[in-house]
Amino acid sequence: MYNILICDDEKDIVKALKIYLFNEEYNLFEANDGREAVNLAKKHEFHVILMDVMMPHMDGISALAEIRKTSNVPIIMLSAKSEDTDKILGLNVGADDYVTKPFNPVEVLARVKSQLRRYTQLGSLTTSDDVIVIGSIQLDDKEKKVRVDQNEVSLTPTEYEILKLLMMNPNRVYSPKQIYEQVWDDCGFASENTVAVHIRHLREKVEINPSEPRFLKVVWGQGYKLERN
Amino acid sequence: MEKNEVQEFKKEFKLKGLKYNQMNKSIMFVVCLIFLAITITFGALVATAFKYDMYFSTKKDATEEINRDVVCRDFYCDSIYDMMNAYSVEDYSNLEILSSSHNENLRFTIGTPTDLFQSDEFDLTKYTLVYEASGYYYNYAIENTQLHEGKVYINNDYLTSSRFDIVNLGIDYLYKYKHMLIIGVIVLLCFDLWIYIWLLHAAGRRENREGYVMNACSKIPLEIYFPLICFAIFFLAAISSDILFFNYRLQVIFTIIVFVIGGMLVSIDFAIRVKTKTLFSNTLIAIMYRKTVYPIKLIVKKMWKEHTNLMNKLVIVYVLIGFFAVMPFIGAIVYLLLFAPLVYLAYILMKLHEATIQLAEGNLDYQVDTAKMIYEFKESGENLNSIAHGMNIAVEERLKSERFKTELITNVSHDIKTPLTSIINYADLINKEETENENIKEYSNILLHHSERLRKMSEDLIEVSKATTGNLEVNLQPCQIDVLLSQIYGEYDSKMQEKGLDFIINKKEYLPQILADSKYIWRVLDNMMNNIYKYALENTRVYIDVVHVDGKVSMIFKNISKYPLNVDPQDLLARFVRGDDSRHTSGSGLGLSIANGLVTMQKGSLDIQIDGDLFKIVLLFDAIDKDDYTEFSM
Repeated sequence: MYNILICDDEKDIVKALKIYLFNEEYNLFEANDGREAVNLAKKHEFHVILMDVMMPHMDGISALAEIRKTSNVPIIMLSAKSEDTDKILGLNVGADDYVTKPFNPVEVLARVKSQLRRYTQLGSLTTSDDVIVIGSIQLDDKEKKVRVDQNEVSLTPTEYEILKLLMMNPNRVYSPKQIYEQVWDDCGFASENTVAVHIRHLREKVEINPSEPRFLKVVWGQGYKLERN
Repeated sequence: MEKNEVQEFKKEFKLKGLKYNQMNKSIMFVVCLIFLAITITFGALVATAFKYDMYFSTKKDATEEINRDVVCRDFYCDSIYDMMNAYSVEDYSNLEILSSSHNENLRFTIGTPTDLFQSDEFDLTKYTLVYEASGYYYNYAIENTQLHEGKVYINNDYLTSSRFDIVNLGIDYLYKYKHMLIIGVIVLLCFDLWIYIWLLHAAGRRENREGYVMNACSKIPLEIYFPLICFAIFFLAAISSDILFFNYRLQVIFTIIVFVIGGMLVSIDFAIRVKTKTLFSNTLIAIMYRKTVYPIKLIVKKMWKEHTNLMNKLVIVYVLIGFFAVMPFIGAIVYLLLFAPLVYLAYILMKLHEATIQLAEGNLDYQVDTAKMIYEFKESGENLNSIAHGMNIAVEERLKSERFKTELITNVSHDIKTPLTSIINYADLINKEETENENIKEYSNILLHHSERLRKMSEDLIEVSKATTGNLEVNLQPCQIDVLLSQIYGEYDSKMQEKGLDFIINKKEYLPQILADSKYIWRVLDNMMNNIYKYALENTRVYIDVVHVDGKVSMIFKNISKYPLNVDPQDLLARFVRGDDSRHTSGSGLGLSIANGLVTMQKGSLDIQIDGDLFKIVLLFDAIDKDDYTEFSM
């Protein structure tokens, strides 16, 4: 059983989230403002907290900071504030994820699951030289397998090679031409389009929301990179 | 007694009717010149008579002397002498030519007394010696100087020829009338003098008018008039040898005439000046004096008269002495003192100029320091400051209202988003409910679809308000177009295939980089592609052309529209306008407006062209890479 706290001043949203998250494995708690959430977090041990930002009494960011003082529980921010600066603020204060309203319930569900796995199964990771872990993506070069949030993802050999290249040098931007030359081991003449298509497929497989990727990012006009924050 | 006589004479003269009119003056002037000419001629004859001593020696001596001079002149004996000087004495051939070419009446001997050269054999008894010259000349043969003699002889027949008859006749007359000539010259001189005096007397007078009148010339200040007329006289005299080069005597006569006329004119002008009492007053110095020193003098005089006691007079004298003594120093000090105000003025003007430049550049915070300025400068400075201030207020107002607008839209959409979340979630939940009622299914689907649209619109609304007001931080970086194009291809390839749209990218192998914000250029292109996805006619081709011309890169998106486009291209850039004029597709109508705002922010431009069903969007960005091979490959 995992304890999940849902904190939002809009009771209907809490209710809807409860319906979506209703599961035998989850024990759902509810809070309607930041103070309540902080108090609950002191009493119980939560495995994931979903937190709204704009709330009465104590806003989500303050509550986040308060909870972070005592706990490293995964906290997913849910907010109508969709500015980059808001996201950066939330993540910097200590949020693990940031989902903007109006959200896709399925996406929220996936993210909750992802955070739960990361939080609870972190210790069981087999760390060897052949395993590269970036965020929730885990690449085992010996078994030639890729797992995202512990779930195995089936990749084509080309996709695997591209992901491996990017994961070996995280944060480095590779141009499509470079990727082609390294993966295909050929001179990339007018083959950049192929790379772009492969990258998109790859993104669809490893990202929860492909149009808003967390790890496999597109640097427009320059190339692709695997971001490790 | 004498005075009376002169006046009598004057009256008599006037009574005779010689009036002071221009005509009489001119006639008298000419008459004076003519008589002067005659006088000079007579004078020349008298001078000739004196030269040959006619008044004191016999006629025979004079005749001989004159005849010799005539002969000498006739045969250029001077030339022979010159030739002795010029040529080596051994070489007499030149002299030979000279003698034979001139006249057979001429004979000469030349050379050292021991080695005498004779032009040819002649009988000395038939010839008369007319010219003799001698000198020491260097002889190259003996390398020493030697005495040379040259003698010129004339045939006696020539001396009795008709030429000498005329000369002798002249001598006869000269001898006969030599005393008469002297008297005549004196009488003529008197007459000349008389006319000249009359001319001087008439100068400045006018017919039927008392007093003296100045003419045009005498009104010119003396310092200008006198040098000018002197220059004219000497100039004419100087060029006489050039214009009358053919005759020496004419040159002399011309020069004399020039001097005589010039002298007369100058003297008459002086007479006018003296009579009208303008000789000294009509000078530049006097004029300057009258204009500057004189007024001061008057003031001093007046003060002198008003202050009668000795103490005051002493003070005035002291001040005056001080004034004249210190004058040069004052000048120097004033000059030095002027320096500071000039520098100050230049400084102020510079400051004001700087302020106008700053204002023109839009730096409204710039303030001119008017504390040290005076008068109009201070006013101008303050005006500039208030312009800056006023503009600042206006700009701030505008910024405020823009910010307010953006904030409002952002806040409103935030507020919309929260209920929207519930709507979407519950619509989804209803949709997932198992129900027999088909209507509920259908309604919930519609609900879901439109809530999704609402979500998109609320996002676009923030976007467009930020993009069009420039409330976005733009981070321009070099961006590779070919990479960008392949990324677009990768992202949209499958989506386009859904609708059977064929993607054709036309580009050169080497494309320059452009400056763009990677995040925003993606939004722009995403909008373009979404537009194409939504509005392009299925199973057609979509072209993306990339052209590099004149340091600019243009990306041209071309597709065939699904719906007829009866809209002005500019209207499409306006908010909430869609090409199809209907609202059944999922767009918000903000796409192009957002794209336009974002492109403008990245210093690019977006242009829409519609040609029938051909829908064309041209994105223009500055190229930053100007490699030579780029030019070459094009």
